Amino acid sequence: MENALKVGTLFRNASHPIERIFELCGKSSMEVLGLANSPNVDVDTLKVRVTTGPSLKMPQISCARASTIQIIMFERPLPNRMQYISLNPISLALGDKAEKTMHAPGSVDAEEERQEIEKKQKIQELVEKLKFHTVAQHQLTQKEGALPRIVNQINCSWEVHKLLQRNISLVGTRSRRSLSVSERVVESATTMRDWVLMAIWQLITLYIYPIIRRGFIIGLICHRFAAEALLLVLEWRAKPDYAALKDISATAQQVEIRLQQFCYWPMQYVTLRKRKNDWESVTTSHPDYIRFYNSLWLVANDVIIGIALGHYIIDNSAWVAETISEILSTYSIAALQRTITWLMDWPAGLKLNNELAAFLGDLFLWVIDHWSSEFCYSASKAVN
Amino acid sequence: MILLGCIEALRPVLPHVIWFIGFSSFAGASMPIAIFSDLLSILTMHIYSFYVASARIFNWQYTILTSLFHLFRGKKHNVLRQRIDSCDYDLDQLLLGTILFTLLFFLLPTVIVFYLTFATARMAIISLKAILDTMLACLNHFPLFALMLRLKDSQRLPGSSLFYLLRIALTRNRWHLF
Repeated sequence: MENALKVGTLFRNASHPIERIFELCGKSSMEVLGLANSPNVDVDTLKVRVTTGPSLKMPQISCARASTIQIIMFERPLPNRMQYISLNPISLALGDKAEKTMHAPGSVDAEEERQEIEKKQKIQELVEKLKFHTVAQHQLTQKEGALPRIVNQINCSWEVHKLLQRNISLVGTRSRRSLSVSERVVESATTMRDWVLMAIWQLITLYIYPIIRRGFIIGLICHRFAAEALLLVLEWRAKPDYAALKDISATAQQVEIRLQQFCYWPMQYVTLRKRKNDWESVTTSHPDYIRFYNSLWLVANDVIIGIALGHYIIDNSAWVAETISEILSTYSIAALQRTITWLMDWPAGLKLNNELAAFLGDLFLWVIDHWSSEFCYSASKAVN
Repeated sequence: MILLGCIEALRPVLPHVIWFIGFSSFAGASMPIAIFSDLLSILTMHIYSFYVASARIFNWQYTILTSLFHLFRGKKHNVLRQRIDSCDYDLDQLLLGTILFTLLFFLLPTVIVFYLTFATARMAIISLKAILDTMLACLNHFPLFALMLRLKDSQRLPGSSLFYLLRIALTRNRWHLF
Protein backbone atom coordinates (compact mmCIF):
# COMPACT_ATOMS: atom_id res chain seq x y z
CA MET A 1 0.00 0.00 0.00
CA GLU A 2 2.69 2.46 1.01
CA ASN A 3 4.57 1.43 -2.09
CA ALA A 4 1.56 2.17 -4.23
CA LEU A 5 1.30 5.62 -2.74
CA LYS A 6 4.96 6.28 -3.44
CA VAL A 7 4.87 5.06 -7.01
CA GLY A 8 1.68 6.98 -7.65
CA THR A 9 -0.56 4.10 -8.79
CA LEU A 10 -3.35 5.44 -6.64
CA PHE A 11 -3.23 8.82 -8.34
CA ARG A 12 -3.69 7.50 -11.87
CA ASN A 13 -6.33 9.00 -14.11
CA ALA A 14 -6.55 12.11 -11.98
CA SER A 15 -8.48 14.87 -13.77
CA HIS A 16 -5.95 17.51 -12.72
CA PRO A 17 -2.30 17.33 -11.62
CA ILE A 18 -2.05 15.87 -8.14
CA GLU A 19 0.89 18.16 -7.33
CA ARG A 20 -1.56 21.04 -7.00
CA ILE A 21 -3.23 19.28 -4.08
CA PHE A 22 0.08 18.50 -2.44
CA GLU A 23 1.05 22.13 -2.81
CA LEU A 24 -2.18 23.24 -1.19
CA CYS A 25 -1.75 20.81 1.67
CA GLY A 26 1.91 21.65 2.23
CA LYS A 27 3.11 18.06 1.83
CA SER A 28 5.23 16.41 -0.81
CA SER A 29 3.42 13.07 -0.78
CA MET A 30 0.77 11.09 1.06
CA GLU A 31 1.61 8.68 3.86
CA VAL A 32 -0.13 5.82 5.58
CA LEU A 33 -0.95 6.73 9.16
CA GLY A 34 -2.11 3.39 10.44
CA LEU A 35 -4.55 0.54 10.10
CA ALA A 36 -8.26 0.40 10.55
CA ASN A 37 -10.41 -2.48 11.81
CA SER A 38 -7.68 -5.12 11.74
CA PRO A 39 -6.97 -6.12 15.34
CA ASN A 40 -4.88 -9.17 14.50
CA VAL A 41 -2.25 -7.47 12.34
CA ASP A 42 0.82 -6.05 13.98
CA VAL A 43 1.49 -2.37 13.34
CA ASP A 44 4.49 -0.15 13.88
CA THR A 45 4.72 1.57 17.21
CA LEU A 46 4.50 4.92 15.45
CA LYS A 47 1.35 4.04 13.54
CA VAL A 48 -2.16 4.31 14.88
CA ARG A 49 -4.83 1.66 15.09
CA VAL A 50 -8.42 2.62 14.51
CA THR A 51 -11.53 0.63 15.27
CA THR A 52 -14.85 1.69 13.87
CA GLY A 53 -18.16 -0.02 13.77
CA PRO A 54 -21.89 0.54 13.76
CA SER A 55 -22.03 0.11 17.53
CA LEU A 56 -19.35 2.70 18.17
CA LYS A 57 -20.46 6.28 17.85
CA MET A 58 -16.90 7.51 17.58
CA PRO A 59 -13.81 5.76 16.28
CA GLN A 60 -11.59 4.17 18.89
CA ILE A 61 -8.02 5.21 18.25
CA SER A 62 -4.94 3.95 19.97
CA CYS A 63 -1.28 4.40 19.39
CA ALA A 64 1.52 2.68 21.26
CA ARG A 65 3.74 5.71 21.44
CA ALA A 66 1.31 8.52 22.14
CA SER A 67 0.15 9.29 25.67
CA THR A 68 -2.75 11.59 24.79
CA ILE A 69 -4.74 11.66 21.63
CA GLN A 70 -7.01 14.43 20.48
CA ILE A 71 -9.58 13.54 17.89
CA ILE A 72 -11.26 16.23 15.87
CA MET A 73 -14.22 14.96 13.92
CA PHE A 74 -15.53 16.98 11.02
CA GLU A 75 -18.16 16.67 8.39
CA ARG A 76 -16.39 16.32 5.08
CA PRO A 77 -17.25 19.30 2.85
CA LEU A 78 -18.40 18.24 -0.60
CA PRO A 79 -16.46 20.21 -3.19
CA ASN A 80 -18.83 19.33 -6.03
CA ARG A 81 -21.54 21.17 -4.09
CA MET A 82 -19.04 23.98 -3.49
CA GLN A 83 -19.03 23.41 0.24
CA TYR A 84 -15.86 24.25 2.08
CA ILE A 85 -14.59 25.31 5.45
CA SER A 86 -12.45 28.31 6.14
CA LEU A 87 -10.83 30.11 9.03
CA ASN A 88 -12.18 33.52 8.07
CA PRO A 89 -15.72 34.49 7.18
CA ILE A 90 -16.41 34.56 3.46
CA SER A 91 -16.29 38.11 2.14
CA LEU A 92 -18.84 38.92 -0.54
CA ALA A 93 -17.97 42.60 -0.81
CA LEU A 94 -15.64 43.60 -3.59
CA GLY A 95 -12.16 44.61 -2.46
CA ASP A 96 -11.58 48.23 -1.55
CA LYS A 97 -10.87 49.27 -5.09
CA ALA A 98 -13.00 52.42 -5.00
CA GLU A 99 -11.13 54.86 -7.14
CA LYS A 100 -10.30 58.06 -5.32
CA THR A 101 -11.73 60.99 -7.20
CA MET A 102 -9.19 63.70 -6.64
CA HIS A 103 -10.44 67.17 -7.26
CA ALA A 104 -8.38 69.68 -9.18
CA PRO A 105 -5.62 71.10 -6.97
CA GLY A 106 -6.26 74.57 -5.57
CA SER A 107 -10.04 74.28 -5.43
CA VAL A 108 -11.95 74.29 -2.16
CA ASP A 109 -12.81 70.61 -2.51
CA ALA A 110 -9.16 69.66 -2.89
CA GLU A 111 -8.31 71.58 0.27
CA GLU A 112 -11.05 69.78 2.18
CA GLU A 113 -9.89 66.46 0.83
CA ARG A 114 -6.33 67.13 1.92
CA GLN A 115 -7.50 67.96 5.43
CA GLU A 116 -9.55 64.80 5.53
CA ILE A 117 -6.57 62.69 4.51
CA GLU A 118 -4.42 64.34 7.19
CA LYS A 119 -7.09 63.64 9.78
CA LYS A 120 -7.21 60.01 8.74
CA GLN A 121 -3.45 59.71 9.04
CA LYS A 122 -3.56 61.15 12.56
CA ILE A 123 -6.23 58.68 13.58
CA GLN A 124 -4.18 55.86 12.11
CA GLU A 125 -1.14 56.92 14.14
CA LEU A 126 -3.25 56.99 17.30
CA VAL A 127 -4.54 53.52 16.58
CA GLU A 128 -0.99 52.29 16.10
CA LYS A 129 -0.02 53.78 19.45
CA LEU A 130 -3.03 52.21 21.11
CA LYS A 131 -1.77 48.80 20.12
CA PHE A 132 1.14 49.14 22.54
CA HIS A 133 -1.28 49.31 25.43
CA THR A 134 -3.23 46.17 24.69
CA VAL A 135 -2.36 42.73 26.02
CA ALA A 136 0.78 41.57 24.26
CA GLN A 137 -0.05 39.46 21.22
CA HIS A 138 1.73 36.15 21.54
CA GLN A 139 3.41 34.55 18.58
CA LEU A 140 1.43 31.93 16.73
CA THR A 141 2.21 28.50 18.04
CA GLN A 142 3.23 25.79 15.63
CA LYS A 143 -0.20 24.20 15.75
CA GLU A 144 -1.96 27.50 15.07
CA GLY A 145 0.42 28.19 12.22
CA ALA A 146 -0.49 24.86 10.65
CA LEU A 147 -4.23 25.59 10.77
CA PRO A 148 -4.58 27.03 7.23
CA ARG A 149 -2.87 23.96 5.78
CA ILE A 150 -5.05 21.64 7.83
CA VAL A 151 -8.14 23.47 6.59
CA ASN A 152 -6.91 23.01 3.03
CA GLN A 153 -6.33 19.31 3.71
CA ILE A 154 -9.87 18.94 4.98
CA ASN A 155 -11.20 20.76 1.92
CA CYS A 156 -9.26 18.42 -0.35
CA SER A 157 -10.16 15.25 1.52
CA TRP A 158 -13.30 14.40 -0.42
CA GLU A 159 -11.72 14.58 -3.85
CA VAL A 160 -8.63 12.66 -2.79
CA HIS A 161 -10.88 10.05 -1.20
CA LYS A 162 -12.79 9.66 -4.47
CA LEU A 163 -9.58 9.35 -6.44
CA LEU A 164 -8.13 6.74 -4.10
CA GLN A 165 -11.37 4.74 -4.08
CA ARG A 166 -11.38 4.66 -7.86
CA ASN A 167 -7.82 3.47 -8.11
CA ILE A 168 -7.80 1.03 -5.19
CA SER A 169 -8.49 -1.88 -7.52
CA LEU A 170 -5.21 -1.25 -9.31
CA VAL A 171 -3.16 -2.08 -6.23
CA GLY A 172 -1.70 -5.54 -6.45
CA THR A 173 -3.31 -6.57 -9.75
CA ARG A 174 -1.95 -6.81 -13.23
CA SER A 175 -3.41 -4.78 -16.03
CA ARG A 176 -6.09 -6.50 -18.09
CA ARG A 177 -5.12 -8.46 -21.17
CA SER A 178 -6.25 -6.98 -24.45
CA LEU A 179 -9.57 -8.12 -25.95
CA SER A 180 -9.76 -11.05 -28.33
CA VAL A 181 -11.19 -10.67 -31.86
CA SER A 182 -14.61 -12.11 -31.07
CA GLU A 183 -14.94 -9.91 -28.00
CA ARG A 184 -14.08 -6.91 -30.14
CA VAL A 185 -16.81 -7.76 -32.64
CA VAL A 186 -19.39 -8.06 -29.89
CA GLU A 187 -18.27 -4.81 -28.36
CA SER A 188 -18.34 -2.85 -31.63
CA ALA A 189 -21.83 -4.20 -32.41
CA THR A 190 -23.17 -3.06 -29.06
CA THR A 191 -21.60 0.35 -29.30
CA MET A 192 -22.65 1.03 -32.91
CA ARG A 193 -25.58 3.22 -31.96
CA ASP A 194 -23.47 5.25 -29.56
CA TRP A 195 -20.89 5.65 -32.29
CA VAL A 196 -23.43 7.09 -34.78
CA LEU A 197 -24.73 9.48 -32.15
CA MET A 198 -21.18 10.51 -31.38
CA ALA A 199 -20.51 11.19 -35.07
CA ILE A 200 -23.59 13.41 -35.41
CA TRP A 201 -22.69 15.26 -32.24
CA GLN A 202 -19.17 15.77 -33.51
CA LEU A 203 -20.51 17.16 -36.79
CA ILE A 204 -22.57 19.68 -34.88
CA THR A 205 -19.74 20.71 -32.62
CA LEU A 206 -17.26 20.91 -35.49
CA TYR A 207 -19.26 22.92 -38.04
CA ILE A 208 -22.23 24.63 -36.44
CA TYR A 209 -20.97 25.43 -32.99
CA PRO A 210 -17.99 27.56 -34.15
CA ILE A 211 -20.29 29.73 -36.29
CA ILE A 212 -22.67 30.35 -33.42
CA ARG A 213 -19.75 30.99 -31.15
CA ARG A 214 -18.14 33.45 -33.53
CA GLY A 215 -21.42 35.33 -33.98
CA PHE A 216 -21.93 35.48 -30.25
CA ILE A 217 -18.43 36.83 -29.69
CA ILE A 218 -18.84 39.50 -32.39
CA GLY A 219 -22.16 40.52 -30.85
CA LEU A 220 -20.55 40.74 -27.44
CA ILE A 221 -17.70 42.89 -28.75
CA CYS A 222 -20.08 45.29 -30.54
CA HIS A 223 -22.17 45.52 -27.41
CA ARG A 224 -19.08 46.22 -25.37
CA PHE A 225 -18.05 49.03 -27.73
CA ALA A 226 -21.47 50.66 -27.54
CA ALA A 227 -21.50 50.34 -23.76
CA GLU A 228 -18.04 51.88 -23.42
CA ALA A 229 -19.03 54.80 -25.66
CA LEU A 230 -22.15 55.44 -23.57
CA LEU A 231 -20.12 55.18 -20.40
CA LEU A 232 -17.73 57.81 -21.75
CA VAL A 233 -20.67 60.13 -22.44
CA LEU A 234 -21.99 59.61 -18.93
CA GLU A 235 -18.56 60.16 -17.45
CA TRP A 236 -17.91 63.33 -19.45
CA ARG A 237 -17.28 66.53 -17.53
CA ALA A 238 -17.12 70.00 -19.09
CA LYS A 239 -14.36 70.87 -16.63
CA PRO A 240 -12.51 68.68 -14.16
CA ASP A 241 -14.34 70.06 -11.14
CA TYR A 242 -17.78 70.07 -12.73
CA ALA A 243 -20.19 67.28 -11.94
CA ALA A 244 -20.57 64.59 -14.56
CA LEU A 245 -23.97 63.63 -15.92
CA LYS A 246 -24.08 60.55 -13.70
CA ASP A 247 -23.67 62.66 -10.56
CA ILE A 248 -26.65 64.84 -11.40
CA SER A 249 -29.20 62.37 -12.65
CA ALA A 250 -30.30 59.16 -10.97
CA THR A 251 -31.32 57.76 -14.36
CA ALA A 252 -27.84 58.26 -15.77
CA GLN A 253 -26.37 56.59 -12.71
CA GLN A 254 -28.71 53.63 -13.07
CA VAL A 255 -27.84 53.25 -16.75
CA GLU A 256 -24.17 53.40 -15.84
CA ILE A 257 -24.49 50.67 -13.21
CA ARG A 258 -26.24 48.38 -15.67
CA LEU A 259 -23.71 49.03 -18.45
CA GLN A 260 -20.81 48.36 -16.12
CA GLN A 261 -22.42 45.11 -15.08
CA PHE A 262 -22.87 44.11 -18.71
CA CYS A 263 -19.20 44.91 -19.39
CA TYR A 264 -18.06 43.02 -16.33
CA TRP A 265 -20.08 39.84 -16.79
CA PRO A 266 -18.20 38.26 -19.71
CA MET A 267 -14.87 38.71 -17.90
CA GLN A 268 -16.31 37.26 -14.72
CA TYR A 269 -17.74 34.35 -16.63
CA VAL A 270 -14.38 33.61 -18.26
CA THR A 271 -12.62 33.62 -14.89
CA LEU A 272 -15.28 31.32 -13.51
CA ARG A 273 -14.78 28.96 -16.45
CA LYS A 274 -11.10 28.76 -15.57
CA ARG A 275 -12.17 27.15 -12.32
CA LYS A 276 -12.92 24.00 -14.30
CA ASN A 277 -9.19 23.57 -15.07
CA ASP A 278 -8.37 23.04 -11.44
CA TRP A 279 -9.44 20.79 -8.62
CA GLU A 280 -12.85 21.53 -7.20
CA SER A 281 -11.27 21.71 -3.76
CA VAL A 282 -9.55 24.99 -4.59
CA THR A 283 -11.84 27.44 -2.86
CA THR A 284 -10.47 30.83 -3.84
CA SER A 285 -13.03 31.48 -6.57
CA HIS A 286 -16.18 30.64 -4.61
CA PRO A 287 -16.88 34.24 -3.52
CA ASP A 288 -16.56 35.30 -7.19
CA TYR A 289 -19.06 32.64 -8.16
CA ILE A 290 -21.55 33.83 -5.57
CA ARG A 291 -21.06 37.46 -6.58
CA PHE A 292 -21.56 36.72 -10.27
CA TYR A 293 -24.75 34.77 -9.80
CA ASN A 294 -26.01 37.29 -7.26
CA SER A 295 -25.78 40.08 -9.81
CA LEU A 296 -27.43 37.88 -12.46
CA TRP A 297 -30.27 37.10 -10.09
CA LEU A 298 -30.70 40.72 -9.13
CA VAL A 299 -30.99 41.81 -12.75
CA ALA A 300 -33.47 39.01 -13.50
CA ASN A 301 -35.55 39.98 -10.46
CA ASP A 302 -35.37 43.61 -11.45
CA VAL A 303 -36.69 42.85 -14.93
CA ILE A 304 -39.50 40.67 -13.58
CA ILE A 305 -40.66 43.30 -11.10
CA GLY A 306 -40.19 45.94 -13.80
CA ILE A 307 -42.49 44.13 -16.24
CA ALA A 308 -45.23 43.91 -13.62
CA LEU A 309 -44.79 47.55 -12.67
CA GLY A 310 -44.69 48.65 -16.30
CA HIS A 311 -47.94 46.86 -17.10
CA TYR A 312 -49.60 48.52 -14.14
CA ILE A 313 -48.33 51.98 -15.05
CA ILE A 314 -49.29 51.69 -18.72
CA ASP A 315 -52.75 50.39 -17.89
CA ASN A 316 -53.44 53.16 -15.39
CA SER A 317 -51.40 55.91 -17.03
CA ALA A 318 -54.28 58.44 -17.02
CA TRP A 319 -55.05 57.95 -13.35
CA VAL A 320 -51.34 57.99 -12.35
CA ALA A 321 -50.76 61.20 -14.33
CA GLU A 322 -53.75 62.90 -12.76
CA THR A 323 -52.69 61.93 -9.25
CA ILE A 324 -49.15 63.12 -9.81
CA SER A 325 -50.22 66.50 -11.20
CA GLU A 326 -52.72 66.87 -8.36
CA ILE A 327 -50.09 66.15 -5.71
CA LEU A 328 -47.58 68.43 -7.39
CA SER A 329 -49.93 71.39 -7.63
CA THR A 330 -51.26 71.01 -4.09
CA TYR A 331 -47.97 70.52 -2.32
CA SER A 332 -45.26 72.19 -4.36
CA ILE A 333 -47.19 75.28 -5.47
CA ALA A 334 -50.42 75.94 -3.57
CA ALA A 335 -49.13 74.89 -0.14
CA LEU A 336 -45.96 76.89 -0.63
CA GLN A 337 -47.90 79.99 -1.64
CA ARG A 338 -50.15 79.66 1.39
CA THR A 339 -47.15 79.27 3.71
CA ILE A 340 -45.42 82.33 2.31
CA THR A 341 -48.57 84.42 2.64
CA TRP A 342 -48.89 83.25 6.22
CA LEU A 343 -45.25 84.16 6.94
CA MET A 344 -45.82 87.68 5.65
CA ASP A 345 -48.52 88.29 8.25
CA TRP A 346 -46.91 87.75 11.68
CA PRO A 347 -46.93 83.94 11.82
CA ALA A 348 -47.87 82.35 15.16
CA GLY A 349 -47.83 85.68 16.95
CA LEU A 350 -44.20 86.25 16.03
CA LYS A 351 -43.68 89.94 15.32
CA LEU A 352 -41.52 89.93 12.23
CA ASN A 353 -40.20 92.95 10.45
CA ASN A 354 -43.11 93.88 8.20
CA GLU A 355 -41.15 95.49 5.42
CA LEU A 356 -38.52 92.78 5.05
CA ALA A 357 -41.11 89.99 5.31
CA ALA A 358 -43.25 91.65 2.68
CA PHE A 359 -40.26 92.12 0.41
CA LEU A 360 -39.04 88.55 0.70
CA GLY A 361 -42.54 87.07 0.50
CA ASP A 362 -43.47 89.11 -2.57
CA LEU A 363 -40.22 88.13 -4.21
CA PHE A 364 -40.78 84.42 -3.69
CA LEU A 365 -44.48 84.60 -4.61
CA TRP A 366 -43.61 86.44 -7.80
CA VAL A 367 -41.02 83.80 -8.69
CA ILE A 368 -43.54 81.02 -8.05
CA ASP A 369 -46.12 82.74 -10.24
CA HIS A 370 -43.59 83.33 -12.95
CA TRP A 371 -42.26 79.81 -12.78
CA SER A 372 -45.66 78.14 -12.89
CA SER A 373 -46.94 80.37 -15.68
CA GLU A 374 -43.72 79.91 -17.65
CA PHE A 375 -44.13 76.22 -17.03
CA CYS A 376 -47.71 76.34 -18.32
CA TYR A 377 -46.68 78.39 -21.26
CA SER A 378 -43.96 76.02 -22.44
CA ALA A 379 -46.11 72.98 -21.64
CA SER A 380 -49.10 74.31 -23.58
CA LYS A 381 -46.79 75.24 -26.42
CA ALA A 382 -45.46 71.69 -26.51
CA VAL A 383 -49.00 70.35 -26.72
CA ASN A 384 -50.16 72.68 -29.50
CA MET B 1 -56.35 81.38 -11.74
CA ILE B 2 -52.87 81.05 -13.16
CA LEU B 3 -52.39 77.94 -11.10
CA LEU B 4 -55.52 76.26 -12.41
CA GLY B 5 -54.52 77.07 -15.94
CA CYS B 6 -51.11 75.58 -15.33
CA ILE B 7 -52.50 72.25 -14.20
CA GLU B 8 -54.86 72.20 -17.16
CA ALA B 9 -51.91 72.77 -19.48
CA LEU B 10 -49.75 70.16 -17.79
CA ARG B 11 -52.44 67.49 -17.81
CA PRO B 12 -52.18 66.48 -21.50
CA VAL B 13 -48.37 66.14 -21.31
CA LEU B 14 -48.10 64.05 -18.17
CA PRO B 15 -49.80 60.88 -19.53
CA HIS B 16 -47.16 60.75 -22.29
CA VAL B 17 -44.39 61.02 -19.72
CA ILE B 18 -46.03 58.35 -17.57
CA TRP B 19 -46.45 56.13 -20.59
CA PHE B 20 -42.74 56.53 -21.34
CA ILE B 21 -41.86 55.66 -17.74
CA GLY B 22 -44.08 52.59 -18.01
CA PHE B 23 -42.22 51.42 -21.11
CA SER B 24 -38.84 52.11 -19.56
CA SER B 25 -39.71 49.73 -16.75
CA PHE B 26 -39.35 46.78 -19.11
CA ALA B 27 -35.59 47.35 -18.65
CA GLY B 28 -36.02 46.68 -14.95
CA ALA B 29 -37.98 48.18 -12.07
CA SER B 30 -34.99 50.32 -11.16
CA MET B 31 -35.38 52.40 -14.33
CA PRO B 32 -38.83 53.93 -13.55
CA ILE B 33 -37.73 54.58 -9.99
CA ALA B 34 -34.64 56.44 -11.22
CA ILE B 35 -36.65 58.38 -13.82
CA PHE B 36 -39.26 59.26 -11.23
CA SER B 37 -36.54 60.52 -8.91
CA ASP B 38 -35.19 62.73 -11.70
CA LEU B 39 -38.70 63.95 -12.55
CA LEU B 40 -39.20 64.90 -8.92
CA SER B 41 -36.04 66.97 -8.87
CA ILE B 42 -36.97 68.73 -12.13
CA LEU B 43 -40.52 69.54 -11.06
CA THR B 44 -39.45 70.89 -7.68
CA MET B 45 -36.60 72.96 -9.04
CA HIS B 46 -38.28 76.18 -7.81
CA ILE B 47 -38.10 74.95 -4.22
CA TYR B 48 -34.42 74.20 -4.66
CA SER B 49 -33.74 77.68 -6.03
CA PHE B 50 -35.73 79.28 -3.18
CA TYR B 51 -33.72 77.28 -0.73
CA VAL B 52 -30.44 78.39 -2.29
CA ALA B 53 -31.53 82.03 -2.32
CA SER B 54 -32.72 82.10 1.28
CA ALA B 55 -29.68 80.13 2.45
CA ARG B 56 -27.42 82.66 0.71
CA ILE B 57 -29.16 85.57 2.43
CA PHE B 58 -29.07 83.84 5.78
CA ASN B 59 -25.37 83.00 5.36
CA TRP B 60 -24.48 86.62 4.50
CA GLN B 61 -26.37 87.93 7.46
CA TYR B 62 -24.83 85.36 9.76
CA THR B 63 -21.23 86.11 8.77
CA ILE B 64 -21.81 89.88 8.98
CA LEU B 65 -23.39 89.45 12.41
CA THR B 66 -20.49 87.38 13.75
CA SER B 67 -17.87 89.88 12.60
CA LEU B 68 -19.90 92.81 13.93
CA PHE B 69 -20.29 90.98 17.23
CA HIS B 70 -16.49 90.68 17.43
CA LEU B 71 -16.28 94.44 16.79
CA PHE B 72 -18.84 95.01 19.51
CA ARG B 73 -16.58 93.16 21.95
CA GLY B 74 -13.42 94.92 20.70
CA LYS B 75 -12.04 91.84 18.98
CA LYS B 76 -11.40 90.85 15.41
CA HIS B 77 -10.90 87.67 13.48
CA ASN B 78 -7.32 87.14 12.34
CA VAL B 79 -7.55 85.48 8.94
CA LEU B 80 -3.86 84.59 8.70
CA ARG B 81 -3.66 82.76 11.99
CA GLN B 82 -7.27 81.50 12.14
CA ARG B 83 -7.89 82.96 15.60
CA ILE B 84 -9.53 85.86 17.45
CA ASP B 85 -7.26 88.81 18.29
CA SER B 86 -8.12 91.86 20.36
CA CYS B 87 -8.08 95.15 18.49
CA ASP B 88 -8.46 98.83 19.37
CA TYR B 89 -11.23 100.41 17.30
CA ASP B 90 -11.93 104.12 16.98
CA LEU B 91 -15.11 105.56 18.44
CA ASP B 92 -16.81 106.17 15.09
CA GLN B 93 -16.00 102.65 13.94
CA LEU B 94 -17.49 101.20 17.12
CA LEU B 95 -20.59 103.37 16.87
CA LEU B 96 -21.37 102.56 13.26
CA GLY B 97 -20.64 98.86 13.80
CA THR B 98 -22.94 98.67 16.80
CA ILE B 99 -25.77 100.42 14.98
CA LEU B 100 -25.41 98.05 12.03
CA PHE B 101 -25.26 95.08 14.40
CA THR B 102 -28.51 96.10 16.09
CA LEU B 103 -30.25 96.64 12.76
CA LEU B 104 -29.19 93.28 11.36
CA PHE B 105 -29.96 91.50 14.61
CA PHE B 106 -33.56 92.68 14.58
CA LEU B 107 -33.94 91.62 10.95
CA LEU B 108 -32.55 88.16 11.70
CA PRO B 109 -35.83 86.42 12.82
CA THR B 110 -37.57 87.28 9.55
CA VAL B 111 -34.75 85.81 7.50
CA ILE B 112 -34.52 82.74 9.75
CA VAL B 113 -38.22 82.06 9.35
CA PHE B 114 -38.01 82.14 5.56
CA TYR B 115 -34.84 80.09 5.59
CA LEU B 116 -36.42 77.44 7.84
CA THR B 117 -39.51 77.21 5.64
CA PHE B 118 -37.56 76.50 2.49
CA ALA B 119 -35.08 74.27 4.30
CA THR B 120 -37.97 72.13 5.55
CA ALA B 121 -39.45 71.91 2.06
CA ARG B 122 -36.09 70.94 0.63
CA MET B 123 -35.59 68.42 3.43
CA ALA B 124 -38.92 66.79 2.58
CA ILE B 125 -37.91 66.47 -1.06
CA ILE B 126 -34.48 65.12 -0.13
CA SER B 127 -36.01 62.50 2.15
CA LEU B 128 -38.39 61.46 -0.62
CA LYS B 129 -35.43 61.07 -2.95
CA ALA B 130 -33.56 59.19 -0.25
CA ILE B 131 -36.42 56.68 -0.04
CA LEU B 132 -36.29 56.23 -3.82
CA ASP B 133 -32.50 55.84 -3.67
CA THR B 134 -32.83 53.21 -0.96
CA MET B 135 -35.22 51.27 -3.16
CA LEU B 136 -32.73 51.56 -6.02
CA ALA B 137 -29.88 50.36 -3.82
CA CYS B 138 -31.97 47.40 -2.67
CA LEU B 139 -32.76 46.47 -6.26
CA ASN B 140 -29.13 46.82 -7.31
CA HIS B 141 -27.15 45.40 -4.43
CA PHE B 142 -29.37 43.16 -2.33
CA PRO B 143 -27.45 39.93 -1.50
CA LEU B 144 -30.36 37.74 -2.58
CA PHE B 145 -28.33 34.85 -3.93
CA ALA B 146 -26.20 34.66 -0.79
CA LEU B 147 -29.30 34.63 1.43
CA MET B 148 -30.89 31.87 -0.63
CA LEU B 149 -27.63 29.90 -0.44
CA ARG B 150 -27.67 30.32 3.30
CA LEU B 151 -31.12 28.73 3.39
CA LYS B 152 -30.32 25.98 0.90
CA ASP B 153 -26.84 24.93 1.88
CA SER B 154 -25.16 26.89 4.62
CA GLN B 155 -21.87 25.03 4.20
CA ARG B 156 -21.22 27.03 1.07
CA LEU B 157 -20.94 30.21 3.11
CA PRO B 158 -18.42 29.37 5.81
CA GLY B 159 -18.06 31.85 8.64
CA SER B 160 -15.12 30.36 10.47
CA SER B 161 -14.27 27.13 12.25
CA LEU B 162 -15.72 26.24 15.63
CA PHE B 163 -14.70 23.30 17.80
CA TYR B 164 -17.24 21.62 20.04
CA LEU B 165 -16.05 19.54 22.96
CA LEU B 166 -18.17 16.41 22.74
CA ARG B 167 -17.34 13.98 25.54
CA ILE B 168 -14.38 12.88 27.57
CA ALA B 169 -14.11 9.13 27.93
CA LEU B 170 -11.48 7.37 29.99
CA THR B 171 -10.34 4.14 28.40
CA ARG B 172 -7.55 2.26 30.07
CA ASN B 173 -4.99 4.87 31.09
CA ARG B 174 -5.49 7.19 28.12
CA TRP B 175 -7.64 10.22 27.76
CA HIS B 176 -9.71 10.20 24.65
CA LEU B 177 -10.92 13.61 23.86
CA PHE B 178 -13.84 13.65 21.51
